[in-house]
Amino acid sequence: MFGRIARVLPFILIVYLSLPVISAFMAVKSISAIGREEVFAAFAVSISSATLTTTISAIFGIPLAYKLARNPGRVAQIAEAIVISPVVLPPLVTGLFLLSVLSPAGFIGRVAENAGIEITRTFLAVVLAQLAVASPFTVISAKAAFEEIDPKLEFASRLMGAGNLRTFLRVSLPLAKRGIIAGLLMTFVRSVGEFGATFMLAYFPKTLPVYLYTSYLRGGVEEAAPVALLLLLIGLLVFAVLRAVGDGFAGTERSK
Amino acid sequence: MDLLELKGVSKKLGSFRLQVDCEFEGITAVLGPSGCGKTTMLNIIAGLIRQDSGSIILNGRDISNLPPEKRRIGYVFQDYALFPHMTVRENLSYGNRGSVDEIAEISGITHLLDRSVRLLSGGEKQRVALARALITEPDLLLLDEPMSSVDELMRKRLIVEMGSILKNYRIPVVYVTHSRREAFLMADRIAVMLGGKILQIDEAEKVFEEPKNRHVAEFMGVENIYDGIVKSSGKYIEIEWSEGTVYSAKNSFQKGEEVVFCIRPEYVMVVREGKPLGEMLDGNVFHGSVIKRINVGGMHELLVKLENELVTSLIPDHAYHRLGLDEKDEVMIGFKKNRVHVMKRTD
Repeated sequence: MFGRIARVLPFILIVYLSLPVISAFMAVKSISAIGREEVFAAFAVSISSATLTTTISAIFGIPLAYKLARNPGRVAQIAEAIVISPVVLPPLVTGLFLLSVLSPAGFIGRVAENAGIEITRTFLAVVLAQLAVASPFTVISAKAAFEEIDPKLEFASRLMGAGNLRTFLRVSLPLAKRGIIAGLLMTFVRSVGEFGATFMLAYFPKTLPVYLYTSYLRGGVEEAAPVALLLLLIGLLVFAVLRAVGDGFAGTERSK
Repeated sequence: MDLLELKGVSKKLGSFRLQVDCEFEGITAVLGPSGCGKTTMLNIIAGLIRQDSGSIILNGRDISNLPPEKRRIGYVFQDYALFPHMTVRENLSYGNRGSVDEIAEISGITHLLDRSVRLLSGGEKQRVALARALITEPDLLLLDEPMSSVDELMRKRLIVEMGSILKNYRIPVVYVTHSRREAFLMADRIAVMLGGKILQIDEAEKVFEEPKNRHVAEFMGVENIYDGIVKSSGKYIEIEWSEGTVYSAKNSFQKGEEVVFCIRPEYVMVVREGKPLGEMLDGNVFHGSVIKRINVGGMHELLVKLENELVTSLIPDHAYHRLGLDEKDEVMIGFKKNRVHVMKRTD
């Protein structure tokens, strides 16, 4: 009896997890909704904001990851906890507290407003919300990749006359490539799917998830399913790229 | 001749303390057990670790506070640290200095130039690493156990090869190893390092024949080390030993001084009881019995028990057969006076 249960145990979760993917194709009665102008607009907002978020994550996240990987210590541990916090917090919570400082009532929002910059309910707010939730994936993955690199390779580079920057660009970065790309893809896909923080911070312009939510409120599953399918396809595409890039998250070029 | 000077260089790492004050010229092997601070010393010289105090002078130039890229030092790391995402050629041309083809020719790696370093054997990697360290024409070459990833058979050949390449350079070479054999094959001078300190740095022969203290003697493979007290000092010094009087040709000691004396196993003469060893040596003869014989490949180690002490004698195979000695045999052992090395006990 127990033996039989033990034998089916590994399969139960996998069956359940495949449910959304399988039902996505059954729930969609017509994909004509995808052709709608507002769907396309939401798609454009999602893709462009996620691309911008990913770019910003790369520019600021990779140096941060390198710094954390090469300077372990108390300060780095605190910094890392801060980096990880959005991953463990519900995005709604992150969004709410961001709103409290970025809205015109908050202190940053007020300064911005006085300077003539509107934050909430703009494309900028979408990017800021995504950045708060999705950029940690870049930092965590890149840090793991940098840690895998034998520091002696960097020493060897410097002893051959290369300074810090050249060593980073020619040795550390190429060797951590896989882990960094994996992290950036995770940031991208997480940005595309971001709902909680975005919902709090930027109801407009609508991203695909926010549009999905409003179409569900308007017309139930039938109305929302085509948009959901679109999100699913983006996710699957990124997943395929991730697999092609190599062995996942902390993947790095083997140094031996 | 180019010169590297370490002046009062010290570094504390946890409970370990490195303290080095010495000069390196020519090819010096730094010999010591693992954990004695050899690699730490190299890393300080190269600027990869910062010293707590002291200065590093290379050809009169104080490099103590320069970043590694400004020190002009070549470094062959223990596992070579070749850039794995590059070919051999890219590894060599990384520093944008020197001629790749020329160094490849000298190092015998021309045929490997376009290969990825991932596909190289241990010996090939070692050659590439040496070439990469030399191509930038450094003022100093550091080698950290460069033979540790090479198999035993290949090792000797590579060391000889390396020696002939390094002959063309006048730069100081610091060769870190824990193998006495490698040290003697490679170096003009040997520095014995123990517990973060260099205990002796001298010509290779001298470190071998005249270790400065008990620790160096032990590390250099002298198995017969004993305490004694100087009884008289003249042409020879007489040392009171638990087995009787020992004479040594070293006479820079004073009467009453507590000393340590040693004799290498290969210098301990052994004959059957009753043979005229005493006349030949004029003293330094002791009676004992063989308690153990170990065949160490072409040589035999005889462990001889005297009254209180054990003495190890190393004799070649042919001598062993001529003597026909074996365990439990009564023997006489003798030391030549000029082979008995005497050291201060306090060092």
